[in-house]
Amino acid sequence: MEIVKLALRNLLRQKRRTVLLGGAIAFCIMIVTVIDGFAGAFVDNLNANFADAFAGHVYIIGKEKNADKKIADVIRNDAVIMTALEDSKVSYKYISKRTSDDEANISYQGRTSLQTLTGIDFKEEPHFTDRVVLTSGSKEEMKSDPQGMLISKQVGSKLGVGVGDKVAVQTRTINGQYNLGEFNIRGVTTDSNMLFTACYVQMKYLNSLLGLAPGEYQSFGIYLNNPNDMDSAGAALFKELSDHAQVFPRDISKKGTNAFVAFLNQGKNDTWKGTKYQITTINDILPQVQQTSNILKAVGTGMLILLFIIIMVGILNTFRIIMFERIREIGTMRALGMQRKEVRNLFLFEAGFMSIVGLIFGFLLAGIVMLVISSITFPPASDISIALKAGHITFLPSVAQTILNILIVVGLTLVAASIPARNAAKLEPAAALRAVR
Amino acid sequence: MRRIFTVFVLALLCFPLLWAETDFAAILKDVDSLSDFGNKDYTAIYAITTEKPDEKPVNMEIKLFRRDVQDQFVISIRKPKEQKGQGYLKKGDTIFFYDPSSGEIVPTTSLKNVGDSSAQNRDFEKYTYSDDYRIASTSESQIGKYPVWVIDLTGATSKVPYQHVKLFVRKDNHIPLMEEDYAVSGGLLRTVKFAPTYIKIADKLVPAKFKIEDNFNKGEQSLLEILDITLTKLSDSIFTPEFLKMAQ
Repeated sequence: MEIVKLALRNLLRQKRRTVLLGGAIAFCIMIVTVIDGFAGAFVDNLNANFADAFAGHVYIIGKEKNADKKIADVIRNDAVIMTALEDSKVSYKYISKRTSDDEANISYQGRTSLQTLTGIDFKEEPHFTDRVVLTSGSKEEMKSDPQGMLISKQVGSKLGVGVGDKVAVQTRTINGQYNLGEFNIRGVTTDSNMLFTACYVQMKYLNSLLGLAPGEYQSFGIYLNNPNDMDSAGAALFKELSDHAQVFPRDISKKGTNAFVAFLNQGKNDTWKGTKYQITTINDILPQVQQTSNILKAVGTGMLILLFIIIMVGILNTFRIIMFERIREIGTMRALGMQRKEVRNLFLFEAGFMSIVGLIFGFLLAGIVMLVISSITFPPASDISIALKAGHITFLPSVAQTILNILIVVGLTLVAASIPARNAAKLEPAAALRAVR
Repeated sequence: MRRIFTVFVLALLCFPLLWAETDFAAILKDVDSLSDFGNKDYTAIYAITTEKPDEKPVNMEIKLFRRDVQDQFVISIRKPKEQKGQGYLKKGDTIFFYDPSSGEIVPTTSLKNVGDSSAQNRDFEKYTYSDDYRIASTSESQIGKYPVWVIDLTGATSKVPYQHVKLFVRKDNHIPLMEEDYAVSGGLLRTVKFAPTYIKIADKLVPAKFKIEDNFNKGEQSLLEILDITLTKLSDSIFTPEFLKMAQ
């Protein structure tokens, strides 16, 4: 206990030195914590945004191939999917059914915009209606208008449309034939991200334009209770659905090919009759999302180690100087009965406490930096919007990574201080007392 | 009396002719044959002027290489400078697009517009109305000084991009003067107007100029003019991705 008190007192004796070294440690840990926090939230935000954009964490798409070898996305009867979902025991919040045309040309008074038109059954999916935020218009009017459209603010501005206006839309049927429709703008949303800017319409009317019967749709999405379960959920669904229907293999990645492109092209060279299902998750089509996060975390750890090696040199030299400055003090303490081990521990405790103080301030600084950065609002369709949460960068440092960082910092500090600590411990009392600074 | 009798007999003889049904299926085949050069390779240079509201007209020049017997074509964009080097390659059912700025060849469709023009890839392929469409109804009309047959077509397969097409074909030589393309719902999407000026090649009369009007994006149109056209044997290497990348 005395050693601990002495160590703390020694730290306060040379405030400037302590502040400088501790500050360097604090800076280092701040950088690494911010990177780790960003990497942690990056994956979560990406998954959440993709889940919103594609209506689920796990998707099932039905595909049919016609005599002309064209593939059409259609789920005509989802009884087999519902059975597989029940049998798989996947824990989910809700399901979504979607029809979409991702190259719909919307026209209004000579202005046009190519957009994704997503058909939703608004009465069956209250979770969607609850989530969507309107800047103008009415959700109730949208629900009651068979030809209603919710248009994003960005697209609305481009076309110069507002609530109550009628737009013409050129779409294509599932067989690729052009079709024309008209929609009434019932609301303007804030929904948009880098992936696409979706306009939402009633599924029944969109189905009629796409050549789908009422009740048919194209993709079945599952919102999981825990997004981290998406891999196991996908595997479980695949197993159950394979027992009752034709299903494409899930392992679509080939060396040298982009997983998303492989996902889009799956089935092009195959032939089959009836509906064949494609089950996929965000992790399947964007494996680089998790890879990016892992890389960011690895970069963070690497930076920490690199920066700290530099700081270690500083700690080593500083404690050497401390040792020489206090050589007579060490001699006195040794003469008074302090053992070698206690001298060594004194130095190590000093270094340890300095690193802890540096850590505390580093985390505080990181918290402030993260708070400031997360208060910045980015425009909805900015380049990084896919990684944002409601237009803000968010941070989610991981407990495991933080503990690892603490251990690295404290460990390397002790390693750096151990050499001068050992040398100080080896000093003979008489020689130390005689030493001239 | 004899004169009256002669006229009467002649009228009787002509009577069946007056009521003879026009063979519109044959007319459609004639239309298709205008762009069918059999096993000959077709090379043409097109100048395309595209107009859009509130924008300056854009002039494009493309070179088309076509081998109908193998259902292949290559379109190479030569002008403007910003799009020079871009191109399309059709092999079988697949069309690929190449952009030198990305260096990648990616799949596209026959419905994709060539550059920023209103012309689609399919506008440069041979006509296949008799295979792809059924005749729904026919009527007569007049375009300028030309009497025309108006042939209403309905898609026979799901391959066709426009479920309904109205062809306005000259009665005298079965060359189309106009085509109206309709959506599944019946809305007019596109009008192609062929000028009655022709280039004669291999005993066929090919319209030298035609205009494509976008009826959905009102005000957008492209005027296409054939600058040069030949039927000479092309090397097989032209219908390859490597040529597409090199063609300038």
